[in-house]
Amino acid sequence: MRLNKVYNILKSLNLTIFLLILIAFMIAISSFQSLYPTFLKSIGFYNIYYSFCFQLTIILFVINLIACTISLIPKTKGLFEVPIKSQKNFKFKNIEDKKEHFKSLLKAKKLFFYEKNNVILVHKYPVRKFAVYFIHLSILIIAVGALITSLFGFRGVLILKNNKPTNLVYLANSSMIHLPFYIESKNFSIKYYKKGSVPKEYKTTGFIVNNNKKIQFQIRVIRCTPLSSQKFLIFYSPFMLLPVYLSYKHS
Amino acid sequence: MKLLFSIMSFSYLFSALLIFIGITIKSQRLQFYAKFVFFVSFLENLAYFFYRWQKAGHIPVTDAFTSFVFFVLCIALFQVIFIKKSNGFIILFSSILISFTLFGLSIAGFNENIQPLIPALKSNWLAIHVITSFLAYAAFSINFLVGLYILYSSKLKSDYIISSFFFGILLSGLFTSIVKYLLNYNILITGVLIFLLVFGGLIYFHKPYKPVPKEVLVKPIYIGFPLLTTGIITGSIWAKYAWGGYWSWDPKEIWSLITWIVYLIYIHYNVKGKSMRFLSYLALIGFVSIMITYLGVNFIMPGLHSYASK
Repeated sequence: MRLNKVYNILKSLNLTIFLLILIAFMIAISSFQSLYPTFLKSIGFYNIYYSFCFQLTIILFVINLIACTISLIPKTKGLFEVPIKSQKNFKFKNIEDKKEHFKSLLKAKKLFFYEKNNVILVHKYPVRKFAVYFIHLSILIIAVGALITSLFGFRGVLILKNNKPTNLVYLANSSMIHLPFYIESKNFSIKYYKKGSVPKEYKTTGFIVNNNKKIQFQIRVIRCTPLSSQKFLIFYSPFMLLPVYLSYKHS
Repeated sequence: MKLLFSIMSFSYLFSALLIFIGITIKSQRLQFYAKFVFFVSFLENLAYFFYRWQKAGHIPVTDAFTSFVFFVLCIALFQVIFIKKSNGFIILFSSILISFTLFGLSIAGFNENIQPLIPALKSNWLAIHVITSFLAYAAFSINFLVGLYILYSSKLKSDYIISSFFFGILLSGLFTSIVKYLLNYNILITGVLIFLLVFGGLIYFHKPYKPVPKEVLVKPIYIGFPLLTTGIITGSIWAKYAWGGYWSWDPKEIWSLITWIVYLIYIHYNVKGKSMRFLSYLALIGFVSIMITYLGVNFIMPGLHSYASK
């Protein structure tokens, strides 16, 4: 009985709406963090996406989504079961001929139909009835993926200056980690279309030093393509139009 | 190019004027001519867009000026598709929104020159991401205009006051930018006065109009929502190539997710059979979140999408 009550709460649309509004509210406040970092840090909304509270909301949302999807199954199943009582009754003398004629008409209209005990079940777009499951499943995959990344992955900024090898990464929660390899950039340069105008090309050479092995790389970015160098994928990140960061991650 | 832009702006304005007179004097013929002028304006808009594309060598949606032009083109495209079935009022409001945007654009001082692309934008994902996102914005804008009309035709005082407020902003913005465009005269205070006049006038002359079917309100959402979803997904894939991750919690990404959430709630409430009045209020909230995604993020919050504010 109590379990039923919990299930009813978990599958309710009201809970979905509440969680969606809560997620929207949290990220909306956090989106102002580049403008008011001190204030948002003081109220605990700075980088809320990596906080336990946000992760918990996402977990609850995932549970709610699963419960909602399960609760829809009997309804969808019911749509494809031939009802005991039909909605429209037709009386004919020669029933078989008329039935065949009726079926060919349904076929011509490209309608889905199923027959049992002289009752014909007709659907206009049967695939549509399953669309909701595909959509819920895709949201679920994205949410679970985001949770896994958020719990086990990391993302940060590594400030790379010319001729200064580094392995220090600044994480979103203001902590730092040391990567198991060093990266060194040499001769970083930017070409502009006109002097001081829009960047046209980023160019650098450098090394990734891993277990005393130097892996050389050369980057020339003129189009949106990442550099692939053995174990690493290197991207450039023109944040706030200052193309001075290189972000990278394990391939 | 400037001449074509001016012709296009005045042509949309003329269609708004014609349809307004047509509705006032209840002339079906005039409304038909107005729709024809609207269609011609759309063709001019299309010609301007392709001319800029040909000149720039890439799809012209990468800066503020061209993205606004593309935004109004998308709204006009939806109206042209449904022009036969569309209510005269909805065409009128669309023409007003488009004219307001275009005249506002001509006085806003954005750089109209064709800008070369930064490397991150030189991608095949650019066209599909921007086109789907802007088509979604346009569909939601139409939903907003229909919602405003529903609220304005309501008998409840609070409904038509809120609707008049939004219409007041639209119309006073349009008049102010036309005066500034023609006279080159800074009229911020006059703009406020025009707003008060329009707002007061709309409330004073208010009367309940013929309601529109629910389908007219809800249909744009079922077009816009899959487009916005596609826009977000293609944007994420592009971000993976450009910045190394599908999602960076950039302000633009955050607000597009909020917009997506608002319309997700909208669809669920529609399925649950909520009233048109309730859905119209949700349409207002949705439009505000679009404006924050489109304008607020570009011009106020710095982030990975900051190139769009230039």
